[in-house]
Amino acid sequence: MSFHDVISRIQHMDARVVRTIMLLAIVIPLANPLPVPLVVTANPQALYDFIEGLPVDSVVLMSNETSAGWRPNLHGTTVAVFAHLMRRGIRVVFNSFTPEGTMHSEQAINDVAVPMGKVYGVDYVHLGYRAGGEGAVAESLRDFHATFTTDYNGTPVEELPLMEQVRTGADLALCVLTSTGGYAGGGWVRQLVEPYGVPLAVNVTGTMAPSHYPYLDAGQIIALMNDTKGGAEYETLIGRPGLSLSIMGAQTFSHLLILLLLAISNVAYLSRKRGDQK
Amino acid sequence: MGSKTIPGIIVTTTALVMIAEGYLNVDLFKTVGSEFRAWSIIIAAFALGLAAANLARFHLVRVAKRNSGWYHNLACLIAMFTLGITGIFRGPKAPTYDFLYTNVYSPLSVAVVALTIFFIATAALRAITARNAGATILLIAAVIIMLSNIPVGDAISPMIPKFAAWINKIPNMAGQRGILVTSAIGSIAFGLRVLLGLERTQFGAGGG
Repeated sequence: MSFHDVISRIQHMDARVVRTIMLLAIVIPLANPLPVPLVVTANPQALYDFIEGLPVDSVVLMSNETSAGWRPNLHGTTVAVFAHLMRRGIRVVFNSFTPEGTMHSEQAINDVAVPMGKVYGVDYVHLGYRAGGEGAVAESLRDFHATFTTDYNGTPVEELPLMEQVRTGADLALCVLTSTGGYAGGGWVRQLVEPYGVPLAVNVTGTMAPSHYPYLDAGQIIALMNDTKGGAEYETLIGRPGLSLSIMGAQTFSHLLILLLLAISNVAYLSRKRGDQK
Repeated sequence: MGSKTIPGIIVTTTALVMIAEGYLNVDLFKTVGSEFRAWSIIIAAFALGLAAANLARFHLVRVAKRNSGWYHNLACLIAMFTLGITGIFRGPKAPTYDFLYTNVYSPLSVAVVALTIFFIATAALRAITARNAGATILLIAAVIIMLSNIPVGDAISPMIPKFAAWINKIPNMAGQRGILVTSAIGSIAFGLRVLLGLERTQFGAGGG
């Protein structure tokens, strides 16, 4: 049996076998997390340094415009950044312009603020969800109190001590946007960065990250957190292993398997092409 | 006046006010524009309810007629009403809703997104080959970006993350800027068509 025959057989093996191997490449590292040494890249480091440099009396907006399906990719970053802010004593306001984003904000609050003993209404506030997309973003930054008359729990915003100091977008020191689609970073650059001059950090999926590089290069975004790796690097920076680091093992092996399959496919193609030429 | 005239007048007037708000520093336009945006938030919330009602009607009809695969429609309705009624009457912070969202809806959503990796695996083995110069460049870029997204890439060579950063900052950014500019020009053109009443697809009529 020639080399070409062997490679061709591997290339044409039953799709169920390929998918089973992929399943094992994901499940085994998830069940047995491996320590993965990470080199922290520029963007997570930039966001970390920026938060480290914020005055303690700052208020940061964390807007979760996410959907449930992308939780493993982005939630680790949200939790890590929120934990960093809470550790520094910086106050945080959560809001969302997608229905499912509120659940992610609640999960981050339960994972970080509650165990830390932070006080709701003083250290952090969850404003909840408003429909209307970029128009709602613009209107909320013009007047938070008019757009979010009550918080996620139904409490009038006027009764929350933290919200006495947050009226418009100009009162924010930073916005950390977590997004899985739609207008994403571009919309917030238009509605927050340009009118109010507030720094914006963006936490997006790997497929969305490339489209944000023009804003990053122009300085309109101060940090671009790319999917799970961005979150894993941030968890490494703050010394708080979480969801993203636990996924890196599975991501590593699944990526390596894809690269192996690509290699087999191209070796088979070149072998077939050489055979045809002969 | 035709049935499309009044909606057309409303659309044109609203668009002109919003454009004026952006370009003119006049308090009247800012006040009216802000009011329009507040209305849009309310309309969007009603649109969500309308979408849910539409979805329910679509699936109910299929269940009632016992169309092919009607049990899938029934499952969709049961899931939708269970989560919806729980959320409405018990609130999103209720343990029941939290359990349904965290342990049923969220894992199922993640599973649907995760299915793509298996198709990518099969495609990687069978279809993604360096058939020409363009495909070869795409393949090399994809390999470098994938290696840069895992810790192994840093371990193999420090040049991999540097080359990945170059790919993102130079060719990718050039392409993305082109897309941004063209989509912005397209949005302006579409907006002009709406302003001039040439675009009527949103009213259910043909375009032009």
